[in-house]
Amino acid sequence: MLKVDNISAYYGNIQALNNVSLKIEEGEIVSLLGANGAGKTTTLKVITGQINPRQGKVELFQQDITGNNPEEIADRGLTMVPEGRKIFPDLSVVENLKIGYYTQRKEGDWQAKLPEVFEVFPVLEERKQQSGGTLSGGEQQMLAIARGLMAEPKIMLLDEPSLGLAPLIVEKIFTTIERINSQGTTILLVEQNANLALKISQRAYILETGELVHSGPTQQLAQDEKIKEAYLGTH
Amino acid sequence: MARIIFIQNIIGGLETGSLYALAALGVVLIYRVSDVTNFAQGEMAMFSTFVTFTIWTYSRAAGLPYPYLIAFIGALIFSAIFGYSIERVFIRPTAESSLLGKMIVTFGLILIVNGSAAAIFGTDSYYMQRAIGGTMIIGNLVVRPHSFFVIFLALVIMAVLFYMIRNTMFGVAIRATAQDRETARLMGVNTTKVTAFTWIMATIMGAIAGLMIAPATNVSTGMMADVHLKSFIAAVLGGFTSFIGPVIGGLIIGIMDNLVGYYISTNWQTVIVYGILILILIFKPYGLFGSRPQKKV
Repeated sequence: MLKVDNISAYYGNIQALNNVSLKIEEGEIVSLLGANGAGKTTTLKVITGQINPRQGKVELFQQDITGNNPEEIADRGLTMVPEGRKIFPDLSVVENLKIGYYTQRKEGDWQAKLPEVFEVFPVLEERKQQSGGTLSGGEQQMLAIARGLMAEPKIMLLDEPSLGLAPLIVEKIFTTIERINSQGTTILLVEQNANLALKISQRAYILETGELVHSGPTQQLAQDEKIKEAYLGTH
Repeated sequence: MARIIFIQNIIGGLETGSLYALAALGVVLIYRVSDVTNFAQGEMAMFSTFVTFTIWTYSRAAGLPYPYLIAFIGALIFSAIFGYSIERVFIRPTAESSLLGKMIVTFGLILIVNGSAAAIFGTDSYYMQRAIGGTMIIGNLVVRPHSFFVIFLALVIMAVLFYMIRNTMFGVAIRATAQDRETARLMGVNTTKVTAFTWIMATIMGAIAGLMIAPATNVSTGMMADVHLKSFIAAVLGGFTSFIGPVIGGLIIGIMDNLVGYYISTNWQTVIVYGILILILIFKPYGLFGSRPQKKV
């Protein structure tokens, strides 16, 4: 479904990614793990078209999308839930959801889609008319995911959805991610919280200073002593 | 009698004020969406007015029916194309440059547009008719129907624009782009198109302001200086971060100008009006309806 092939990317002269390759099949939850600055967000930004790779190729549904604009890629059914949520602070909750439906605007009525996302996140219905900027961190993360769902994505990229949230809310968000996946959306999850991410994903890739160092089924990774030590903490 | 004069001053103030409001709204629309402060808004409006005036003159000479209407429609079409071309040729290439760089480009535009107008249309000043001529007497009130036409037209344009921005999908896309361009693109919004649209809208609003003020100022290369300056002040007074602010700001300036000029002193009119505005800004530094601008990343 999504294939990242030998990507190298730079910020100015500083190399952020070196020959990174990923493959995500339909229906999977795949995690991309690694420490701060390992290149996780950069990888996502290459996929969404926010950064042009200097080398390599990105394929979505067997089509080359390398160098496409973010809006073109969004149109193809790939939705990004960005790091730091990036809620439009002066738009109301409902308007944030409305803009989430932008790629679908010719297909139907955005309002008809609302009950579906309110069912997943009932709290958003209560906050409907509040402006996005006034929500709590957890609510903003829910809104960011809900906004992504509005686009009826075939594949959803989530960048650090647990960042800065209380454990209870994180758990809720992860349960929701599993639920979204079970309803047919493929998920690529970027996380620093490797324990949690491994729990819900089938496969994972681990990045270290811009290079892929491990990859494989999560069970296998979770049993690897070196990985346990480096990423999962030694319990 | 005193009440009649007061009302006449208010109507006159609303007339010019709504033109300041239109022009200011154009400036703010562009600023909010693309971070460009278009200092050439007034000159672009002047150029559009010259084109409109030329269409009007030729239509009259050719004996066409409703020359003013033809010119008005011509103004809408020309300014839409003009606004788009300016954005495409001068502004879009600066997308990645600094805020200062973008500002300087619009300063350059002042010179280019003004110079072209002088070269093409000459430096004389020309008479332009009112949308609706004559005067009208309501009770003891003597007013120009043109005044009502101007106020009505500005209200209609602003109502349509506000409705669009508030309620339509494209309007939400405009506001999303204004708040966070990169995230708007992730939502699938073609922000290049949104920016072009704001330039088209702003240029049309400027052209209408120019056409409506022309009977009072005559058509000349310097005709928009006053409206342009006051529209900027209106935008600052109302707040660059809100869409309704510049409208209110424009109306306040229009009305205050008239009232102070009539009741206090024409000589000190400008000093008093802008003195008061500075006072307001001391207490409301982001304008009456503005809020501290959020830092865009």
